[in-house]
Amino acid sequence: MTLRGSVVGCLCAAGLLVLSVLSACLGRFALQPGQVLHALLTVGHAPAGGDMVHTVLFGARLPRIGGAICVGAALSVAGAAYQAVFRNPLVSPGLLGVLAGAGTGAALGIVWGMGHAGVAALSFLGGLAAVAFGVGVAQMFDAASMLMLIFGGLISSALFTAFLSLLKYVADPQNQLPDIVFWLLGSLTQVTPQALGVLVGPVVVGIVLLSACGRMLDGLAMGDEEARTLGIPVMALRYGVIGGATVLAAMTVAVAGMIGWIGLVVPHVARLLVGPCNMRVLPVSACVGGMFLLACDDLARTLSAEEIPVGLIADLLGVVVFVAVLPLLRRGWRA
Amino acid sequence: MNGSQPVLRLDHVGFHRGRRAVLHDVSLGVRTGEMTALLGPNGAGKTTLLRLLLGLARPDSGQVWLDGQPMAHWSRREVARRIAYVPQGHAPLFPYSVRDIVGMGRLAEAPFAPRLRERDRDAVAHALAELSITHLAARPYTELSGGERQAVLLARALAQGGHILILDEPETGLDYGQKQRLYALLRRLAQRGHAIVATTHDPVQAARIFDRAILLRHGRVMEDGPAAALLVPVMLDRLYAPQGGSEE
Repeated sequence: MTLRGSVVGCLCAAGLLVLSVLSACLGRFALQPGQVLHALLTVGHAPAGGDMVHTVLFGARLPRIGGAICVGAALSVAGAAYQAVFRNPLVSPGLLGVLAGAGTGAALGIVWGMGHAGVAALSFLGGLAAVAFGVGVAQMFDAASMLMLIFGGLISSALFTAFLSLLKYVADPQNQLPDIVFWLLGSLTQVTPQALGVLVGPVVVGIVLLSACGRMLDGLAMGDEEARTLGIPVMALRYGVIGGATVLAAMTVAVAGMIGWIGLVVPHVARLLVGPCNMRVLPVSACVGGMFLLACDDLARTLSAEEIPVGLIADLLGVVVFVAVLPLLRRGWRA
Repeated sequence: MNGSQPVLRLDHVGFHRGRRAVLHDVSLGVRTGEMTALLGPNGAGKTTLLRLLLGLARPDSGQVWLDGQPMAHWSRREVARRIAYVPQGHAPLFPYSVRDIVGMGRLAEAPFAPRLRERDRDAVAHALAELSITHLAARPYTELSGGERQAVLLARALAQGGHILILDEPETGLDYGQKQRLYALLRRLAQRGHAIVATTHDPVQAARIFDRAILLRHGRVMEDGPAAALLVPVMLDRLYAPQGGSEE
């Protein structure tokens, strides 16, 4: 890694750590940084029955902080991977229908009266099903064509968005419809220690595997045929990366609902920080995305007495960040 | 022509696009130490022939042989270690540095390595020096002129380390001096034992520079022989005559 990449990587990691401690202090039951650090250092020696600090910190705040970091990191890495695979800076993880499919799965679970775990599982499966459908449509016509893949994604997104609208139409307007709407707005309120335990492993593995493909993704930027002459197995790489990024994105919707813009905006910020090489862009995207969603969640928890859905905050802040960095990005693009 | 065994060979190859025949019964061999020019009018099948030589397309009939084995025997990485390709100049969307682009030539050696290893960095530095573009190493490739981009792509091919070099109209966009330096470099590489194959639309230069010319017309090899002897006005008139009833 270059000196610049190493410095940015260290700064990102330090920033994430500091923001995590600050986030642990924020909330209705305010904590001092010293209390947080002390509780973390004495985690194995908590008072019998636990005290308030331990209860708040380990029962609510840390799982939520971990959830925000995981979801932000996963969406950002998925977005960066999609942008590299499709050689398009305007692509986000929703391109092939994963978000529409995951939203539909969640809505179906809510309409069927399932518990949170069931809704999350259906959401995850819905995301995978939507992408599989989009890829299947593309394979029917031309498996090697990226354009057909995008068309397949558009068709899948439209289909699953229609299913979602249908589910909203038939949902009980008193109980189910508000639940569906709240899910679609995106929230981290349901992140429990158990949910975080399920999320962390696959997210870390996914980020590491996608990052390991970084140099080959750079080669893919030169075009499919040229990439093949460089020794890159183009189709295996494309579908492998799409599969990995889809699993990451579907997991985020299963845990936190629909959170947009991060997957589009954060990879651009990462490229501004470390240049275009994906071996650096992907891990730095994970760090920046984690920080971004954590900051959004802090605002969602503290801006008003009632918690604001974090998806709303992420959308609003994402637009502001994107407009702010757009002039810098255009200088780097060929067009 | 030298008498060594061909390192890359087409053996009675035919290729169709849909129902249209693009190449018919093409046989030719590429030898180390030899510079071969591929000429023909637009639509004669030159690009398809290059794709077959690069292993990017499979023939509908006949066989492509690389280093004595059928092309299908080799994996994509193994082909990339043997054959390097220099496309016509273009630019990716993102502003990779020249060093990054040349470093892509080492992908076949260690595709999952987090960074270039020492011997890969040496190969990149050597290729940059060979093309006299070391001073461009940190520049964004997207900001270079057409000639500079061509030099970078050639450096990437050298870094790749194969013994066969295939170039698609390498003189496009180059000024006179850049062309002369390119031809001198290709000659040096051939003398070091590389096999060079290049498509070109400049028969006058090809007659001066290349050892051998393959003339392609209507998807067939019209002539194959010493460049200086073949690329004469009467032959070029035949080669570039209007292709009435063209099969491509």
